[in-house]
Amino acid sequence: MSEALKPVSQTMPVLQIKGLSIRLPGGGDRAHAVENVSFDVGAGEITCVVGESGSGKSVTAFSVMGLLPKLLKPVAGQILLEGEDVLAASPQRLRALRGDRMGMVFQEPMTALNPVLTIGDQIEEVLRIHTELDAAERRAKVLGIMAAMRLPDPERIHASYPHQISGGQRQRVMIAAALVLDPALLIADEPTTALDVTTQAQILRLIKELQGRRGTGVLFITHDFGVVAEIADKVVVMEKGFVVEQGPAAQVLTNPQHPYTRMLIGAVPSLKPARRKAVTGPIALEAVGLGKTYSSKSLFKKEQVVHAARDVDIKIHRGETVGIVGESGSGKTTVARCIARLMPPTRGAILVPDIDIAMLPERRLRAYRRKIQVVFQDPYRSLNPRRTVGDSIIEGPCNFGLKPDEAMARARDLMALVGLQPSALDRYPHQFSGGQRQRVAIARALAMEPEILIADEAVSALDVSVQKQVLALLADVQERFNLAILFITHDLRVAAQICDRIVVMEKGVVVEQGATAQVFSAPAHAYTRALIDAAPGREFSVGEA
Amino acid sequence: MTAEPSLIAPALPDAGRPNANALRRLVRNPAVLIGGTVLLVMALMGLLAPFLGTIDPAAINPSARNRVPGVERTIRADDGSTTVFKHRMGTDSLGRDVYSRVVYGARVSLMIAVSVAAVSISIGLILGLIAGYIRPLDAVIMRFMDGLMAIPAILLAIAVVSLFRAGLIAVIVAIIVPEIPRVVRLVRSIVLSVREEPYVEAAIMQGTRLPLLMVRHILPNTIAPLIVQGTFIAASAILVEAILSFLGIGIPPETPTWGNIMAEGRNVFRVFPHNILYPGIFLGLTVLAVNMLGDGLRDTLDPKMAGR
Repeated sequence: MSEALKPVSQTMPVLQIKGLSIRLPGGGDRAHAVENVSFDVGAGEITCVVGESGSGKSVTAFSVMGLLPKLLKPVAGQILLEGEDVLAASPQRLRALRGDRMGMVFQEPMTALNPVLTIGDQIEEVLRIHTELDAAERRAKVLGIMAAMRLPDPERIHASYPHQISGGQRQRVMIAAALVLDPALLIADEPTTALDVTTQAQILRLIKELQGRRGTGVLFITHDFGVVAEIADKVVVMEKGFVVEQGPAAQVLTNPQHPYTRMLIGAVPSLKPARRKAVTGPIALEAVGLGKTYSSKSLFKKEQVVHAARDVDIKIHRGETVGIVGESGSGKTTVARCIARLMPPTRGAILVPDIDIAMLPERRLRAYRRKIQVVFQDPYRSLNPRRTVGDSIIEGPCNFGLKPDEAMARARDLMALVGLQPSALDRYPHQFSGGQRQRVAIARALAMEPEILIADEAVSALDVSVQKQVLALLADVQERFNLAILFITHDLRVAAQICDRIVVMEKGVVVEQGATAQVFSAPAHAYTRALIDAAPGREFSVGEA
Repeated sequence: MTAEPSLIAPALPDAGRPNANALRRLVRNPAVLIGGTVLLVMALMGLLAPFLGTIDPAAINPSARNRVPGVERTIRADDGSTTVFKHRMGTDSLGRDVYSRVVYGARVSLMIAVSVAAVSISIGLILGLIAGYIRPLDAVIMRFMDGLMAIPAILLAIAVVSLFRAGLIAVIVAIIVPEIPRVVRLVRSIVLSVREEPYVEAAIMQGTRLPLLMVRHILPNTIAPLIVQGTFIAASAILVEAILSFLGIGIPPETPTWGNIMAEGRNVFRVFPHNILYPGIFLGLTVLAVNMLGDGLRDTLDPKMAGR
């Protein structure tokens, strides 16, 4: 595999993109989705295309597959797949090439698989279309590639439906279907973004190993520099439709030339915990023995009980940031929603700090609502699209008796505080970018003068550069208002940078908690160690400014 | 901390309210335009009925029964003066002028359409909001609605009419009752999906009380689908009224409605088809116009449904 690092100029590259320009339909903020993009993918080489949202990286991948939406028109350039121009190919020829000479893996394996066909049928479909193999040969070949994907019990999975297997297994199935005909090129569009870190690590290892063994060229689209560090042979950095820098991975990562690349790499939070000053504030909130149980009762079925969270003890001081980390299904969001009282816990107490709000009815809870505020994950859905951001910000204060014009004056101050123009208050959410919306959401939370701020994956949907700004903003407002922050995240890098203490959850149970530095340097629990080991690109220390 | 210029949202081309362009798009939609125009003409016709060359639609004239369209007749007024009146659409078996009855009939049909749509949507909206947001009441309301839906609409309407004395109000009530469950289901399903939206949860965290939460954050999401549903209810109300009248259990036969005129013409249809033909054309046109308007509204207000 190390041979792949050598320049592949002796043989023809699997994929050559030359001067590709794709026009956007009118009315957008720029004329071209991608402009004058050129790069190669060699045989047995992994080329990572990195960029933030809107950089044109996915458009590039789709144009190689010939899957561009009709509105987007390639206006210049060539895409040569083993010397054949894909842009000039007829739809029939493209269909023949897809699957046979190039395979694609998408971001979301659940939606990319057909829910009403078995896994085996879906992989076999490729063989049915492109080969003359009979049923028995097809089945043997499918089981073979499934075993190569290290899918456990291929016979069973062959007969399973997509919902019956896990997310990581689904992504393995997608890769199996893409690779079953041994294509020259594998296009992977953010294939691990929807997966948990430990699963992501396995999938990355699998892709790397398979393409090395089969000599497949891989065009890997990602936004995550950790992933790049983990698998890339070559890196292409895109910004707003242009390639700003490309070169061997080691060179781009350690010695980036273009300011945009430097900014991107600098914005990736380091896994090495930041030095934090000791927190001495009084306790703001304490959860004791918190539990949430879901039970499904129905007339004819046995009652099923799911423990989403069990015996969770968390203490947060004023001015302190406590991170809850864990993978999907670990119960971290359940705990946050219980503490925010968006749902009632099944048992346990939530002390703020002298009264237990765990079981208070909504009527009596209202007085405590202003003490705890939440910043949600998806900034596109957490603001009512029909109301101006000003109306959204003053809603809470007005609910508690502040006059609208006084509240508006405060909102203006808050907008300046979160780095937005006060005059933007009468705009609607769709006129802001994701990062700006998250700033508005923070302003809305601060308008209530809370003591505790719950950030539920608040930066997960943002590009790294924006993420860095929002994290800095959170640290700033924490200092100003002496806030206690409960920070829910799946991203260890983010947690390492902003948390004073870390609570690690697995399957609804707290498996470890302690000071951030201690958890990272000497993880006590096996699951914590697995999480840290799985963090992509951990040997590659980025973002240490 | 001062505002960095780079963080200021650029003015986007579609600045303003999210639905600011909805009106412009509506006017451009041919279905909305045609449907709306036809309806407007029908409404004006009903409103201006006395001035459109009509005579008393209930006046019986035994000497001029079952005349074909175009026949002229001399009418003697009380003061002895005479005028020549042309029965453009002929007369029915009691000698009443079909043209006058059709024109006046538009009044009843459109009034029923509008009132049924308005009332059933208002009631359905309230019940749907309650069912969608207040869990314990959900099962009670929805099972009752399921029960209503299990009875065919026409049968239910016949049953309701038979409970009261036949009349306009009874007919309107009879048509409203079977329409309500459909509205409740629609509203409830919207509420169930919107209540999970983070912005609704954010409002809860802001201490917004339930009534305000409903009006401010949930209700606006139901308006566009309800406008569309309203047009379909209106179309179906016109039809059901005509059916009830045709069956002779609706509005009293002396009141001109399109259904009544057709019911009246049924016995002599093979000899004098105009008694059914003309009201039928108007009925068909109106229902078509309302449906076109509804489709057009759906396509403009809910672009996801366009092209299906």
